[in-house]
Amino acid sequence: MLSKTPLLEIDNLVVDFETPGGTFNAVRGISLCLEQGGSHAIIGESGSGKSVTASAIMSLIDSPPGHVCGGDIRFQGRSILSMPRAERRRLYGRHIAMVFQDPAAHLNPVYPVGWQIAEVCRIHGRPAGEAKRSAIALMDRVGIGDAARRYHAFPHQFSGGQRQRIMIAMAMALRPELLIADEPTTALDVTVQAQILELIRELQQENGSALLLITHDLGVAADIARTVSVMRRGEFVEEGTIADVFVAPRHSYTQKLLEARTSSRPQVTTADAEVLLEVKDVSIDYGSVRAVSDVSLQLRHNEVLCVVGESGSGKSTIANAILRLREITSGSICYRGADIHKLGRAELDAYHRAVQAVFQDPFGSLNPRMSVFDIICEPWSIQRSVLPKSEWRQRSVELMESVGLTAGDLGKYPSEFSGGQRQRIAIARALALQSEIIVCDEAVSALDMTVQGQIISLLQEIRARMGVALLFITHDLTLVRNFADRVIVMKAGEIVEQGSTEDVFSNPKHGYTKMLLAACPVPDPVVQQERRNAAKVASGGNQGAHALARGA
Amino acid sequence: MARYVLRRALQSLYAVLMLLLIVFAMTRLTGDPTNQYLPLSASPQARADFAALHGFNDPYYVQFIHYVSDLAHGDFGQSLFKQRPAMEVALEAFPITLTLAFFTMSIALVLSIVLGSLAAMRPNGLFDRMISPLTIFTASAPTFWVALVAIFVFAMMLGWVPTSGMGTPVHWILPVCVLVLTPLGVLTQVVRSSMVSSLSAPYAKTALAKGASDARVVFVHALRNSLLPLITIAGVQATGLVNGAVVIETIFGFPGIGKVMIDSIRDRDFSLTIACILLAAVVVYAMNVAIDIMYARLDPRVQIGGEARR
Repeated sequence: MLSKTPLLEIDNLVVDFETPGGTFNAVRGISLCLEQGGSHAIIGESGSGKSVTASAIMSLIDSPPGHVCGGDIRFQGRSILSMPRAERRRLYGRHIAMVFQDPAAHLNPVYPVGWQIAEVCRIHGRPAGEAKRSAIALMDRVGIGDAARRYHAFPHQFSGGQRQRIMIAMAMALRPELLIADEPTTALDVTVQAQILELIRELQQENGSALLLITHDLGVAADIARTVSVMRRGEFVEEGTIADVFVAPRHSYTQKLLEARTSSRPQVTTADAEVLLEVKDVSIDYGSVRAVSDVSLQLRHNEVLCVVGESGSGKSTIANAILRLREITSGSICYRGADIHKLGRAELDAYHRAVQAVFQDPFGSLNPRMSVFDIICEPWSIQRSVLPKSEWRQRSVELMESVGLTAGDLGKYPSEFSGGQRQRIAIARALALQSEIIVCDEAVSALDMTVQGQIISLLQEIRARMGVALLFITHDLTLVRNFADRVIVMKAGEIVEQGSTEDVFSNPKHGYTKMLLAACPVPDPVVQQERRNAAKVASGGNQGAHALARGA
Repeated sequence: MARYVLRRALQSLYAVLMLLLIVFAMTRLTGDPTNQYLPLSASPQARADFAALHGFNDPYYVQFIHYVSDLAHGDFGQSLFKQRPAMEVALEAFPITLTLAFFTMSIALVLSIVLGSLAAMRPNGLFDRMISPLTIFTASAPTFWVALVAIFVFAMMLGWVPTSGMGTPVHWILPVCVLVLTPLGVLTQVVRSSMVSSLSAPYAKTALAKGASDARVVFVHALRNSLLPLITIAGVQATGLVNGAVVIETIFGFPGIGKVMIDSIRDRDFSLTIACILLAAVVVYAMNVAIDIMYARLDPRVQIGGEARR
């Protein structure tokens, strides 16, 4: 075999961040080699240093506080780190391009999208007219319909999936040899994710680009990459082909990552338990838009009911209606047979005691100026009759211990905790009133995979120990499988399918459920390849995929 | 857009009427001008005639009705002191104030964008550390005090510029330089802080990843986003300049609207006071509408008059 220069070489790279608490070693001597046209994934949880690695290649590390303090990055044999800035600028956008996680934030809100795509061409010396023409052609290629007109539209006028298509068009504009994709689909719905991954794969093949994919989602990595590095605390703990690493992981951390999604579910029979909450023919309008139409569901004692749907399906609207954070347009919501909109003052208090919530954003849902003790005691200071003040301390310690935190954490503030720990605090607060129902609105979506697993186990344990019922709202089907007793699938404000978890997963009846199940990538390269082919056939080959893409 | 301007104009009309009511009542509270305009020795008959001529004997509400009905015919009343139509006097003085404000704001805007951007490129760098305390000083130093010190130093001690008056371009230097300090300090701080956040925004990273130069990231990508808060604050500052002209024009003996207004209050020249205030109010409202429209031009997400750009 001919020895030639690899496209990208990372050689013993070290990146440090100076923090008030000392030096944080974000990347600790990783090495990587990517050939022309190859596709490599770096997987790991947040804080593992994978995005820092990508930023280092693009010279995008915020300095200060971060700096590359060791090793080298070579592109086509030339060291990027020791290159003059002007020369580096000629590389970026032209030979190395990047797609970021959050397209809404990474597109400049005040310029038209077409202008932003054409800008890459203009920066690298193309005349303005030609740049505009190729931007329109690119928009058309990535599946933005009516490209000539949409050229002048602004980022906020596109959906999340379309924005990511625009980012991809921007990155692929000059057919770069290397495309870096940093969590390109994390902010997107699962069906949109499948389309975007397909688009990246197609463009990569068309242009012969190499792909460096940064992701926390093993399924995404299995779907698109051929080789993989597993990153943890700034180091690669395992490397190899996707097939080797995912089928026969050697390192315990990789094994843990792969297992995180497949924990077993304790069997609890709830089919004939008492109905706690009954939602009957509820419709909810936002102005002239019907967000939820004629939805009915029942939540039984000690049951886990999962409502699954993509963004805009109305699942969170239902949760808010149950929490009485949103008025309903028609229908009724009954708690133990009594309509919650016709309750008196005292009964309403009782209802609020019975139904508590854990929200998606563990950063936004805890008041940063309140100590954990104040946060957990707040329900008692509102509902005076529940617990005398003298017992607050004792009870809050018990609650903290039941969610896996310590009494010593009570005096701290939310900013001192990680996302997972904050969600534990939110759960402790929800448990404070000994509620019967906890509504979890995307309660684990913002968390890393292993942390997700921990929170789900905690919820399972609490459910078994305290006999609460959980209404679990999520967009993530894979989570639901090992957790829910029953599943409701929502689309565009309507329930399209409901049934026991086994039925829905093994024998989905509605086309949309089948599509959701098919779109969700699995961390097994062979299975994922088969599923992808099956999905292609099902949607009528490439043409169908494009038609679908246009709708994203 | 035309509909939006029209709707805002109608809203302003209502506000101007309310303002008129208040100002009218307040001028009447300052006392009867008769005592001021007629000599002490004037006979009671002469006083009665004077008051009757100008309607000062009527109940306030009758005076107000007369005033409004005159106003509806485009008559802002006569200036007692100058014996000319009040609006004519106000309109003569107003362009001077506007010119002063225009020069001041233009200089403040250009300088603040340059200084703020430079400071934001390296937060806590040498330039930033030099500029930031200065902006705090200029933003907080009281204008009248700075004006007096400036006159003392530059006009009296050094004799570089005249102390007061208006005639040659040289007369404009000191007032503009003094007036520019407050908006310059405030706006530089605004530009700096919004520029710092724009430069660390994700879209700035996207621009760098495209291979854009630092200058392009700063002046194309970040600046346009930073202009939004700047325009809001600049609007407040510009309004303040027009209203604050009272002090600075008095100190520098500048015959702008502020000086005319002060003189008219001292002279109990009711019609002139009201004309000046109405004129200033209309300009302030027009400025606000202009700012809203500019805002919508710069930020496509902002919609005016309920018409989203979709």
